[in-house]
Amino acid sequence: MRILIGVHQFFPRHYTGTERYVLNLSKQLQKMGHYVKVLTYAFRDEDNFQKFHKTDLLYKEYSFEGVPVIALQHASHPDDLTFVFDFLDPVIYEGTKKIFETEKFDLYHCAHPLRIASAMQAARDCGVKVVFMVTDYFMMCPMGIMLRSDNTLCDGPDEGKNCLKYCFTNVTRERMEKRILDAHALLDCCDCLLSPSLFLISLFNYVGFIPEAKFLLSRHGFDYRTKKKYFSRKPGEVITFGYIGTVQYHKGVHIMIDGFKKAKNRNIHLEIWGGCFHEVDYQKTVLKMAGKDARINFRGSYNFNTIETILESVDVVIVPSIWYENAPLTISTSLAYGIPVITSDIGGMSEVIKDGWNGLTFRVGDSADLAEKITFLAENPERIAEFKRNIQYPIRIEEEAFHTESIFARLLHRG
Amino acid sequence: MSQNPSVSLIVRTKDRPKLLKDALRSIAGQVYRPIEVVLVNDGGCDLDISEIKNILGDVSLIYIRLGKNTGRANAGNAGIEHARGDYIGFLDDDDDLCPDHVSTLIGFLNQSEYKVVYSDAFFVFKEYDTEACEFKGRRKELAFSRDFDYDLLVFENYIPFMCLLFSRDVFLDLHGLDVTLDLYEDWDALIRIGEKYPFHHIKRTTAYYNQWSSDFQISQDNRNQKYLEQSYMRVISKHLDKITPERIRRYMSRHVYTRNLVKEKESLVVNLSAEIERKDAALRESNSRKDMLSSEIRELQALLHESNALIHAMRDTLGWRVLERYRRLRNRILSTPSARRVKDSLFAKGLSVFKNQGFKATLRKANKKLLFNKSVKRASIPIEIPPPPSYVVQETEGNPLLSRVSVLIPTKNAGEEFDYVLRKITQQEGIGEIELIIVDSGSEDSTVKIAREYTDNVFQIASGDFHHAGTRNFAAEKASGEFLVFTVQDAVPVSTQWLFKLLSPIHQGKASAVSARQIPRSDADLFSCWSYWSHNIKYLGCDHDSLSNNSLFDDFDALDLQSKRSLAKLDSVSLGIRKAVFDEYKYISEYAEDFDLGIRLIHDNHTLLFQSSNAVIHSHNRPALYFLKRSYTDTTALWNLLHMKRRANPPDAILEALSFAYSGLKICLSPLLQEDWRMRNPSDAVSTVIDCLAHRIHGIHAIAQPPEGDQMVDEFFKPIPPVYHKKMISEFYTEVQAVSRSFADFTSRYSSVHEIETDLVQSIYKLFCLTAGHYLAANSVDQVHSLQRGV
Repeated sequence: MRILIGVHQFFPRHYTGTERYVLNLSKQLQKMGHYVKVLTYAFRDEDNFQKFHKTDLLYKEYSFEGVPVIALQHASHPDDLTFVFDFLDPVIYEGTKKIFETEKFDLYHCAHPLRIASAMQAARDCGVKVVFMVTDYFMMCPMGIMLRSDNTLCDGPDEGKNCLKYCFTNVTRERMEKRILDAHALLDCCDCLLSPSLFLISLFNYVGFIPEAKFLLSRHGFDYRTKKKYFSRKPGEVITFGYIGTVQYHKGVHIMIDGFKKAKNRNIHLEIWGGCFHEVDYQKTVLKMAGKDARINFRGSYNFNTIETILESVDVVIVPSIWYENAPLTISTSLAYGIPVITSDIGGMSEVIKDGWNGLTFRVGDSADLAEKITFLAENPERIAEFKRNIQYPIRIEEEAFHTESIFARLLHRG
Repeated sequence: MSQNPSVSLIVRTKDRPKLLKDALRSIAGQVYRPIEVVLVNDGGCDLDISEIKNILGDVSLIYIRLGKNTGRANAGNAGIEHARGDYIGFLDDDDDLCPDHVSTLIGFLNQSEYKVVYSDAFFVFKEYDTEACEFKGRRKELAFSRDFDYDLLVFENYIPFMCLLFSRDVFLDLHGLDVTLDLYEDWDALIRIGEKYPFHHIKRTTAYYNQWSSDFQISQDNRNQKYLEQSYMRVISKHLDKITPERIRRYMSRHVYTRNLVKEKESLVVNLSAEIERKDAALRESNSRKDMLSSEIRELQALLHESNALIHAMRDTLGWRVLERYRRLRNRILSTPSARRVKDSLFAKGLSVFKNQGFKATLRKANKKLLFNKSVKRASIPIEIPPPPSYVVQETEGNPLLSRVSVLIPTKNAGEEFDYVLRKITQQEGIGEIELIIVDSGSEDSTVKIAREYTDNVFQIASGDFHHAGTRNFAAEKASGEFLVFTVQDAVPVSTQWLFKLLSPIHQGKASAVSARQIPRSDADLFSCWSYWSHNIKYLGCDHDSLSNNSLFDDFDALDLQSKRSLAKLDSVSLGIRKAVFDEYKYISEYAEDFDLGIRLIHDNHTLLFQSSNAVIHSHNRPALYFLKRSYTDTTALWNLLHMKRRANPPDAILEALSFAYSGLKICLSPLLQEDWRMRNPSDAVSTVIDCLAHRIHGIHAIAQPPEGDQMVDEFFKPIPPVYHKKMISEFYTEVQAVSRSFADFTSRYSSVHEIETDLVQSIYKLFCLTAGHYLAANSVDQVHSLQRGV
C-alpha cells in the first residue's frame, strides 16, 4: 500500500503524543513493507522551503528516523491556524491535490486535521480513501479537554453556543459557527473514523457529531522498546501509592491529596512525581493541602526515561483526573509494567480499569470515595497481587499498526 | 520420445475370468491413451476373447495362451517379450487400478530422467458376502507408501509390483524375470533393477491391492507360511552379496524403531480410549452447562428488554419530558453548578454545623472552605453518556470454542519477556481452556521458573537433545487438548483473538491446519524487515488469506519449489491443528519440519489455510555470519527434502571464490562510504554497490589487502585465500544482483541513507552472506562442517 499520513505538526520540532503516534505507525508500516510518507505543516521560522508548482504554497521534503516527510506552509501566512480547520483552504487543497495526483497514494490517514484539513477533500477528489484517527476532543472542543474555563465538565458545544458562553467569550459567533460547520464537513468526507477509546465514540454520538462513516475502535499501542526492566514488586509493610503526571487542576491532584489525607492508615505512602507546568498557584495550594502529612512526598519533575525506576518503587498508581481522559499514557504505562491503578470512573480511564479486577475506580472528584479505596487496599494488601495477576498488558505499537493495516486493507478491498 | 508414449500393461491370469474382467475394466477406465494390454493366460481355462475386447474398447489387446501352467516368472517374461509399449507395467488379474494410475506415473517419467516410477496402493480386504453372493471390500488401508530406499529393498519387498511403471529399456538390461523363482520373482527383479536405476516415489494412491478372505490367490502355495519363508530365503540367498554389515545395521535399527513405534501406538490407543471417555463426559457436562447458560441469557435478555421498555415508557411520560426541559433550561440559565446553588447548599450546611457544633466550629470550617475555593473548585458531576453503538464493540465472531487447546512452546533461555508472552497467550479470549506445554532444553536463565508460574506442564530435556521435529512431537504427546497450537518463545500474538481466529476454521471444518503470518517487531532491523517482506509477501504471496489443497493443481510433485512453498506454507511459529490429525502425521524433518508437514497433509487431500488477517509479532536481528550458516543449512535441508540435484563442485574452490567476492564487496563499499553516499537515496546506493561488484571487480584479479568489513565475516574468511575463479564469481554475482534488486526495491521506502546508514551497510553484508550460503549449498554436495555449527 502507498499511504500518506497527515498530522498538523511533526518531529523534530514537535513531539507530543499525536506526533509520536504518527512516527510509530509510519515506521511500523514501513517495516511491514508499505510505502509511507508523512504530510505536515511547518511554520515560517523553518528554512529551505521552495515554491510548490507555481502555487501560493511552500514546501520542503526531509526525512525523520527514516520516514520521508513533506512539510507545507502558506506563502502568505493566514491569520489563524490554531482555531479553525479551514476545510476549504484553496492553497492547501490545490497543493495536496497535486501530491495525490503525482505520488499515487492509495490512502490518506489523518492523525490531526488542523492546518491541513483541506488535504482530506483533496484526497477524496482524487479518489483516495480517507481515514481519520480522532485522537482527542478537538473537533468538538477548541479547548481540547471538554473542561470549561470555570473548571466544570462540558456536555458538548451545542452548535458553538456553549463554547462562546463558557470558554471563548471574545470569539465572534460567525467564526465559531464556521469552526463547527467545518468540523462536520471534515468528518463527513472520511471513509472511516478511528478512535482510541469507546468513550470518545460515545461522546461524539452524545453531542450530535454523528458522521456518515462508521467509527472503529483502534487502541493506541504502547512502545515496549522503552521497557528494559522486568520486575515483580511484592507489597511490603508499607504500601506506596504513586502519582505520575503534571500537577495541574484538571489532573485532580487536589482530590487525590484530600482523599489520601482522609485515609488514616499509617502503612501508606504517596509519592507525587511531576512539575506544575504553568499552574504555580495550584501547586502552592496542593502543597498547602498536603501540609505536614509525612506520608506524602512531592518528588518534583521527572524525565520519562526514568519511568522504570519510578514504577519500580510504587505498588499502586493513582490517576485522579477530573476531565474525560481519553487514553491516558500513565495508565497504559503502569499496566505495561504490571502495576494496578486507582482511577476516576469516567472517560477512557474506567474503560481500561475495571473496578475490583485490575485496579479500583472511584467517583470522579469524590475524595471520600477515593479515601475508601485507599483504605481498602491498605487493609487488604493481598488484593494488589490479585489485581496484578488480572492485568491485561496494553497492546503494542506493532499490534496497533497491524490493526490499522487490516482496516486499510478492508477499505481498499485487499487482504 | 513422442509426446504421448505408449504403455503396455502385462496381465497374468489363471482360472479367474470374473476377477480378470474387473481388472481389465480398471485398465479400460484409464484416462491415459495409448495403452495396450498383454494378456498372458498361464495354462488356465479358456477365455471369451470377444467379451474381453468389448471390455477393453479402444485399448488394444495382445493375447498369449500358454499350453500349461509355467509359473508367474515365465508368464511375465512371455508378456515382456510381446509388449510393444515405450513403458511397461504389470497388473495381476485380482487387482485394480485407479483411472489416473498411468497418467500420474507417465506424467512424471515423461518429464524426468528417471526410468522407474511408482505410486501407492490401498490394501483392500475383501470378504465374501453370503447374501449378495459376491466379494465386497470391507476395509482399506494405505500399503507401505515409503520412499525409495535400496538398503531396505534388499530386505523387504515393500513396493507393490503393480504400482510400478518401467521404461522399456530397463527390461533389456534385466534379461527377464528369474524363472527359477515361483514366488517373489517381482521382488528379485526390483532388487536387480534398483541396483542400476533409482526409482522415484509419487505419494499418490493410484491402485487397489486386493486381499482375499478365501481361496482366491493365484497360487495356493501363497498361504503356506513355510513356503513363503523358503521363497523369501531363496531371494535373500541370491542377493547375499548385497547384504553388507552396514545395510544389516541400518535395517536392524529401523526394525527396532518399528517395534517401538508399535508399542507406542498400542499405549496410545489405550490412552485415547480413556481420553474419549473423558471427553464424552466433558461434552455432556459442557452441553448441560451451555443449556443452563443459554436459558440464563434468555432470561437476562427478557429482563433487559423489559427494562428498556420501562425506560422508554418513562421517558415518554409528560412528567419526564417536562422535567428534562426544565433541567436543560436550568443548565442554560445557571452554569453547572450555579453559584446560587452552591451558595444555597453552603448555607444549609453552615446552618446544620451551627446547630450541632456551635458558632466557633462553623466559623473555622467556613474559613477553611472559602480558602480552598479560592483556587480549587470541586469538579462537577459528569454527564451520563450512553454506551457507544453496538457495532463498535469488538467481540469474538461466532461461538466461542469450548474445547481445550494445548499451546506447545519449546524454550531455551527465553529471557524475561517470556512472562509477557505467556500472559498474552493465557489471556486469549473465546477459548474453553488453554493448556500450556513447555519443553525446555537446558535454559540457564529464569525461563523454567517463569513457565512454572503459568503451568505444571514444564518438561526439561538436555540441551543436546533438542530437535526441531522430535521436541515438538514430544510436546504434542504430553498435550491433552483437542487442538494443538505450535508457537515459539518470543512470538507475541497480535491480539486476544489470535488463538480463536487460528482454530475457528479448523473447528468449522474449513481447514485441517492453519498458520498465521509473522510481522516484524518494532525494533527489527532493515535486513530483517526486508527478509520478512521479500520471503512472505513477494515470494510466498502471503498478503491475503489463502486456502490450499490438492484440488488446486494436477500434480503437486510436478510443481516448482516456489509454488510448493506457497501452497504448503505452514509455520511452526503460529500453527493450529487438531491433535488427532497431528498424531497421525507428526513432524519428521529436522529442518523445515513445518513445510514438510504441509506437503504431507496436502498429499493426503487435507486443506491448509494461511491467514494474513491474523498474526504473531516475531523477528530477530542477527549478525551477518549467522545468515551464511543459516542459508547454507536451510538450502541443504530443503534440497534434500525435495530431492533436488546439486552440483558436485569441490567446496574449497567455492569458498575461495566467495572469499574473493567478499574482498571485492569490501572494496566496492569503502569508497562509497567516504563519498556522498549519505546524501543518496538508499535504493540508488545499493544499486551502485551492486553495479560495482558486477562490472569493476572483474578487472581486479588479485586482492592484496582488502579493507575491514564485518568483523565476524572477516574472521570467517581470514583462513580462506581469495582466489579469482572467474566462472563461480560471475555466477555468484548474478545471484547477488538478483537478491539485491529486491532489497533495493524495499529500501525505496526510505528517503535518505543518512538515518539508516549503519543498518544499510550491515544489510549489504547480510545479503552477501545469505546468497553465499545458498550458493555454496547448491553447488557442492560435500558437507562444510564449519557452517553447520552454531545455527
